[in-house]
Amino acid sequence: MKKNMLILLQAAMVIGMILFVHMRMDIPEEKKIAEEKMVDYITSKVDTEAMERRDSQAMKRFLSLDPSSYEYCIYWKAKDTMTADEIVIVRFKGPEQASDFAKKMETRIQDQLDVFDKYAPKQADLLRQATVETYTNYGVYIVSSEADKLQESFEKKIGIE
Amino acid sequence: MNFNNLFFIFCFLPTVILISRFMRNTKALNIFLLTASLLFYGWADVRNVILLGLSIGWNYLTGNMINTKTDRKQKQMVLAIGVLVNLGLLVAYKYTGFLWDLERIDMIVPVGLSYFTFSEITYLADIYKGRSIPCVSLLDFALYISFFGKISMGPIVPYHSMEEEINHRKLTNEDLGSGSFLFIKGLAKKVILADTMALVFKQLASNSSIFGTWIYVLSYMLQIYFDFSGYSDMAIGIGRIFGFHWEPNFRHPYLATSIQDFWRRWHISLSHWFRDYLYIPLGGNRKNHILNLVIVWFCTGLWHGANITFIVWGLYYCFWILLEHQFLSKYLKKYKILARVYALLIIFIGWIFFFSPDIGSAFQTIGHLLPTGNRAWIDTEVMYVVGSNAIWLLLAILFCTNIYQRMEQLLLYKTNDIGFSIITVAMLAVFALSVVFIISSSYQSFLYYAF
Repeated sequence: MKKNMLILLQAAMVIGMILFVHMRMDIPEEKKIAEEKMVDYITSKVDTEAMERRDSQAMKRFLSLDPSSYEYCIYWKAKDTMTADEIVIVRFKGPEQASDFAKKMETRIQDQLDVFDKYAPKQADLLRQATVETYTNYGVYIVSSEADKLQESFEKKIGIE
Repeated sequence: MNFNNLFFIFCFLPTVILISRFMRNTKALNIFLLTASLLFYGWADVRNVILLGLSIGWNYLTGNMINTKTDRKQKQMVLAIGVLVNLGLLVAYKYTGFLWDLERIDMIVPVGLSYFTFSEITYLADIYKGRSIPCVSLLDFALYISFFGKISMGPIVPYHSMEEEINHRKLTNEDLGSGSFLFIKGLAKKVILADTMALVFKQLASNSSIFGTWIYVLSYMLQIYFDFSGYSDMAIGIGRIFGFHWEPNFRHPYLATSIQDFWRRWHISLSHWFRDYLYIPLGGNRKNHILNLVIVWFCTGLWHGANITFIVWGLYYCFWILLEHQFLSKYLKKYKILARVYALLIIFIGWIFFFSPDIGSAFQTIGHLLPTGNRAWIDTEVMYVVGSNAIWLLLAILFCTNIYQRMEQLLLYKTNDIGFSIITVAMLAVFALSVVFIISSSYQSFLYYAF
């Protein structure tokens, strides 16, 4: 077989393999939803009488999150301090932020449990059923009696079935 | 399609055997077997046949290129590129998530990837070393890589071992008979013993009593042996039916008298691969012996899976092998019984790292073997599980030894033809029992399929 033909065929095989692997690599990409639309979405889902949107100071103080390190960070917390309900949605700048976000939310849950376990067992139960979920572009933390429904609705919103 | 699948046993395999008998010559037989192999491989996902084809094409062409080079450095370069492309494919599918912590990448690893890429590396290396000449026919080379008897889970047969038989072989009735016996033996090992031990393992997964933990680990030790050696027997049996004669992949590894001995008996084709194609090229025991061993065992662990526990498992064995080299060997040769106990204990602990999801769980399980903390020695759950499976546990332990071979040899030696008939009837009974087990129990996939 001529040398050039051999090299061409080899190159074709390698390119073929790279393309094949790339096509089979399935990285689920969620829809990138703008902050305002995400805020509208959450507002439609939460009881705005019982919950309020908190600012970046609160995010740093309660969640140890620096909002400037994310595309955006939306934090809703119950107005009543005797209630554990919270919702946090962040959009990552890169997928490498996911594990750090998850760790911080787990720490938040534990901190809240240390407080509510002593005098509010129902709230403690809610915390134990909290959801912390990360996706390629998003991180979500929900403490609510409807945590599962909210998460499902969120996943539909961002295009994951 | 797996070997313990009823469709494979009663439809695919008998059909291929029957049609192969009508092939006039080796060339026709090879074309037919290649077709059957690609059908087998593409059964679960036909797209993987494309990747397999590209990989075969790459290695076939690279083998030719190595052969055309006369300059040693150029040969080395082509070999290196050839090997890197094969390893690149392996890394892309198996290790991307592990290396870059990309949890959301969903890569379904093509069946047999670890096995056929290693086979392809042996092909390139054998040509480079002059042990083999490049395969003239692409179809024959494709059969070497994709033969359904070995593509899923090995054995990793080096090209030079199969080269002659690929080109010239005959299908004989002796091979059909002995291959079928081996297949039935392997099937029984898998569906009767391995799958039963798998259920014991699952049942005791959350048991924290001391005795329960010992049985838990023991059941895994037995499961993985019968699962993989069973598969290997089936693969070698199928190979023999079609005229290929491969070395055994297991030689009663739990009878080992040292860890070095264990690795001469367990997954022999993989150990030989790492010895011949990594350890010796690195310098073996002539140069940087300890470093070479660490590299080989690191890679052995990593080959099994993208998890730190597999790496720890590999390095764990490296440690014991080094200790034996430096110090323990003379004592193990002197005290055979103690040597067996020592080897079994080390292997027993080793499996804990192998099956644990993380290092923490592994050490927790090891801790549960000892009378620490406020845990019971035994509880009703363990008594129930052991009681229900006592016969299978005892049989499994018994068949880890060479008792079957001794009984077979004794029977044939003492009684000749009658002994052969007894064995045949026994094999048919075992086959029938295996089919009953397949139909009645829930599906358990092969453990080594995952690698």
